[in-house]
Amino acid sequence: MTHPIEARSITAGYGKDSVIDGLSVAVPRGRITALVGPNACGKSTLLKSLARLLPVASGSVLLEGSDIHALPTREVARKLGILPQSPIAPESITVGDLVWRGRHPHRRFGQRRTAADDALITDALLATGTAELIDRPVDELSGGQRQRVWIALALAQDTPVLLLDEPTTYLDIAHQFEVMDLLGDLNEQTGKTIVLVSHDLNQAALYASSIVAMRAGRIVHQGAPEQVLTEETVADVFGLNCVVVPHPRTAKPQIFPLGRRTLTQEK
Amino acid sequence: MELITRVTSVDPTLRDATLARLRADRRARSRRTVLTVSVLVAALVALLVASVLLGGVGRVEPADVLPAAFGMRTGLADYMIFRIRVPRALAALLSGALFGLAGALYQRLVRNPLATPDIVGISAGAGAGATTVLLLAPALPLGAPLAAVTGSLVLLAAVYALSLRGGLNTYRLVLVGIGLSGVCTAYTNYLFSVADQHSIAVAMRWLIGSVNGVDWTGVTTLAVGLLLCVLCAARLGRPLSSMSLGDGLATGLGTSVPAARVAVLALGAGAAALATSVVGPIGFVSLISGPIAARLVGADRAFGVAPFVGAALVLGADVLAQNAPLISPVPTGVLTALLGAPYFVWLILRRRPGATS
Repeated sequence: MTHPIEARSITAGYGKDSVIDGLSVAVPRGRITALVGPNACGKSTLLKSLARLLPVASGSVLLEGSDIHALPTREVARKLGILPQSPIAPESITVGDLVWRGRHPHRRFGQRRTAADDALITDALLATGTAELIDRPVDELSGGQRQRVWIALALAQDTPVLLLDEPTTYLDIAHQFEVMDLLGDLNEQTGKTIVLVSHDLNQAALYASSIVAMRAGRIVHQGAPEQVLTEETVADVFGLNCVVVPHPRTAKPQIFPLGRRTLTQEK
Repeated sequence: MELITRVTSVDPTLRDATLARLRADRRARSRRTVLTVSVLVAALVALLVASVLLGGVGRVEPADVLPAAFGMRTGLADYMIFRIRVPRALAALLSGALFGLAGALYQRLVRNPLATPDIVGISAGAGAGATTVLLLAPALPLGAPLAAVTGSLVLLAAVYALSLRGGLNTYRLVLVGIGLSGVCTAYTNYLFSVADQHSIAVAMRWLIGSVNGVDWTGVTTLAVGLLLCVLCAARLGRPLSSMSLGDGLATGLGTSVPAARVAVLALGAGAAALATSVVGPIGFVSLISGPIAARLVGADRAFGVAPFVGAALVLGADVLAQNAPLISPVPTGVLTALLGAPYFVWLILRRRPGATS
């Protein structure tokens, strides 16, 4: 069985220093996979390598079984979307125009936009709750609105695989859950394979069905939240003591960190 | 399409209303672009007429002016109109469009409204090349234009090669460009210090830039060059618009960023070098055309409008250079600098602190 996206013993990094070395991972189809780990553990590097934003020094990245670097980049862009951590909104571009750029990989040179393009853009705007902002310049939006517009762009690209680098950073807690709900809906109802880098273990446990925990450029644990998010694993991966309790409603594991000062407040 | 529709189960009326707004918004901005370009084209036609007629047609019969402009008269009318004024006006228009296009390409690539091909030393290289020929071998036919193109391309190649270490970085490109431009300027100044007075005057005139004395060969060169550059630029439009979202997202959207970046750098430099080789480094046009176009139609659509703005700027400046009271006649480059430099300063002053684009 081929995986939608898979890394086979890849080595990648910036300049001469490799951040990840000989790493292999297969992303399960039709699920949400969260990459978690401490700062500088290589999770963003892995995501960028999977999205061919970074070249791999050795090993290979396979998209539906074929080498991603051997495929034409536009063909890849029709199958795999990537939302980097800090995309740039050009000055004075409107929301409608920005989201339209998600359709670029589907258009040949000189081809006009079609009714199908417009329908997809409309749906992407409605799904992300940004339809009201169509004619607003992106640089005037709040952080939460802007992040939802970027996700609308990624949705308009309409790819079966979507990679996101910390999609909920900079958002307040309500907007964070709004974005995660949207990704959950997309995954559940369309079978879109989603991979996201996350700093929030509890959120990852609630929304992802597969968690990949990394440390120092290597994958140390991979599996369902119940298997990965244990007190031992968190201590092992992050060097942080914690208590894991089941979520009162969903029974998913939720961690409560035990900082040095937490214990002094113990009742 | 169903991918998302199935998710959201949106009220169809809301969906239709959103679709209508999307289209209306786009139409409104397209209309504005079309209107702006129409106005600019009308202004160009008016300026062309003014450029040919102003300054007096002397002993040329008014009835002969139009036929003469198309090369259908002989003698004085042919000389004044067809050999001198029409090529001069067309050279102003075409070189302006090339400078405008070159500037807009670099501004989009570097994501900075103050970028031009001069950041990689196009003017300095062209100046060094042309000055070498004008001061050391003035008798060479076509020497200065060829040397200008050669000089700018050599400098571009040097800047590019030196900036390439570990992938092309635009910031490093700019800094290396400034450094090597300085070397070229030093070389040009050295030549000036050892040349004779007459050659210096000729070379100075070239360095200021003027459409004076451009003949039909020059006009043809500019026209063919502009046509090729516009065709290439159209091809690069979509990669450029992706790349304005950052390299990562652009790659994700299927753009080969390194290839597109080299193509844009080369095309912008080529357009500027070509115009410079015929009319000299007319100042500030590539710098201010893009920002003016951005004010007219919004930064996102400025790219296609900038060549029209550039054409109107050089042609308008040249009409002034020939006819303005007190100062005329002066080289075109004096006027573009006189008008462009204050606008440039104003652009810098009104930028928000920390703005990146």
